[in-house]
Amino acid sequence: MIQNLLLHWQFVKLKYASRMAYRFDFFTCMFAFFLFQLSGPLFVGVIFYAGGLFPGWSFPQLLLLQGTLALIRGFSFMSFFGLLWNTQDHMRRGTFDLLLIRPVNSLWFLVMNSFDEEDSGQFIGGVAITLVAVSLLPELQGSLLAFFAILLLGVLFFLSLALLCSAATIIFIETQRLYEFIDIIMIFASYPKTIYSGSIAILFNTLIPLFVAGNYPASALLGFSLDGVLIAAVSVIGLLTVSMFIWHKTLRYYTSAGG
Amino acid sequence: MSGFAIVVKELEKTYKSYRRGKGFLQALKSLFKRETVYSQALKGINFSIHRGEIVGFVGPNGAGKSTTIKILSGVLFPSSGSVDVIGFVPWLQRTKYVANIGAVFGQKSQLWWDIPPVDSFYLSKGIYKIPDTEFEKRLETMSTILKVKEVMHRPTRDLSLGERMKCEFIMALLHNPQVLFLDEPTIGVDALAKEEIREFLLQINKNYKTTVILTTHDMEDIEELCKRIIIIDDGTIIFDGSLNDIKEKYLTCKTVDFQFTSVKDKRKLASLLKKGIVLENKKWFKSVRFEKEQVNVPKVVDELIKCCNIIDFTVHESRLEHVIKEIYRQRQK
Repeated sequence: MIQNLLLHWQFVKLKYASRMAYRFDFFTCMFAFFLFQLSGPLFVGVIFYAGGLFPGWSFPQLLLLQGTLALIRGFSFMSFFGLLWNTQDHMRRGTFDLLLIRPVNSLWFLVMNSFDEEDSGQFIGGVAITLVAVSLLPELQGSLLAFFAILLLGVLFFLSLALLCSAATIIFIETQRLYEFIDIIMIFASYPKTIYSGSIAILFNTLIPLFVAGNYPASALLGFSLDGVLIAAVSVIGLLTVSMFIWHKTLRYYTSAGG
Repeated sequence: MSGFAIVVKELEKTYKSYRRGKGFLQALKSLFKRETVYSQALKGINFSIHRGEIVGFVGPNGAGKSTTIKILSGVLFPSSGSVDVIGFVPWLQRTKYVANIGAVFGQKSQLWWDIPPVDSFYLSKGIYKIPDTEFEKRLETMSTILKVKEVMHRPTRDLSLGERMKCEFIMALLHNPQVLFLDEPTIGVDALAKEEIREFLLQINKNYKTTVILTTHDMEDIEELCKRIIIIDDGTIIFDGSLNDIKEKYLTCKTVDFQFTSVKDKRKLASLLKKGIVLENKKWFKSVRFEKEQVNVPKVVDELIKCCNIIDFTVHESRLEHVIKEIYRQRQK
């Protein structure tokens, strides 16, 4: 395990080393993604101050929700979400074979390969927004441990989505638009849970448990009610198990590129 | 296990794809209904390879070479049949199995493009869990033989193709694999680098008894490295034997090239040329191919010397490349 983590760390270092060969691009990418992360809170801020109703949420609390979402998203995009583009790239160029001839778990190897240093900016942006939000709040009444535990759930939710898309890419090759679906769905994670009702709220807590990507971790830190979080947790674990199973199954149908 | 490194029995692979007609309407139709097409890439092939053997695996494009190599390396699942490589079923025990094999794909790089190859080697060390001393020793030996001790510290993108391919070989062999799969490893590489790579491979094979399967269209690679050749076409093995066997079976001709300044006996020269097939017919240079069974080539040569003032002269057998081409042509007919 330790050896595997060290290897993962070696990959991360090489990715950065590789990227730093083009300094200008490295810095502009980091900065662009950092700015991109700020766009979400700005948008919600505009709605809030224009009189948009977010029952029970003040602006700093909303900012914390935005921050945790950006943090989870940034971490996921930096660490493994590149799976989507990486799988597609490997499929098109026929280089997926090179991953399969390594004596390590192929999925883990692909995840290591998918570390996207460009998205460090997104992660840093997420951390920055969260810290700003925390500094604006008079006090935090929630639990830091619960916050981090639910953050982890959020990351696992993103991992499940990435695995399902990657599996689809192994079979269908061209699946670029799947990412856009995810992007659209994630817009719903930007707002407090309280604005959703009925079947929509159930959907976002069970089948597509996106409340774990912003609402629940922010609520955990703010001391808000965490009703439904256990169901969402079970749902995330189930989704992850299914997506890993599907990913490994699709390898059987991998046909490689002509050679 | 027996002395075999690889045993393949009744191996079959069928690919499923979809056919689409041409034009916009057909494209539109294919969105809703597609015609499924099954193509049999491997039609029940059988062969075995001894430990330490270097075998050339050749065939025209689309013959089934790459499919075979991909199944043997655990990348693809076969449709049916059995494969045993050094005691493993590649696609079922892939993670454990691939620790014992190496591969060089001439058109797919395993090196990281923007960093020096030496960094990729260290990554390989971590992946294959190679002990420090062993790694240092092997890297030192291989980089010395392949003359890349300096260049392996430069970013991969700055290397010439020959230098890069040498580094690819190091990458594939650092963990001392028992079986090495080579797919067009010298494609586009200059003659000198090719020679160095071939010498390196022979040395590795001799020192470590590494079993090598070489897929290539470069028959010089085959002649220099392999004693045995397997020819595959249309998913079927059409020849499996030694290079000597193939030469004996198919090298039935000799070609005589001669350059001359004048002709003493025009009629005699014409009759001699009629005994073979004139491949090149210039005023003062001829190249003629004679069937060994029908013509006594030394006698013809003797008579040519008598009827012309010859200034240059060579007799050679057809090259393996021509033989292989001829086999492919015969199969197409």
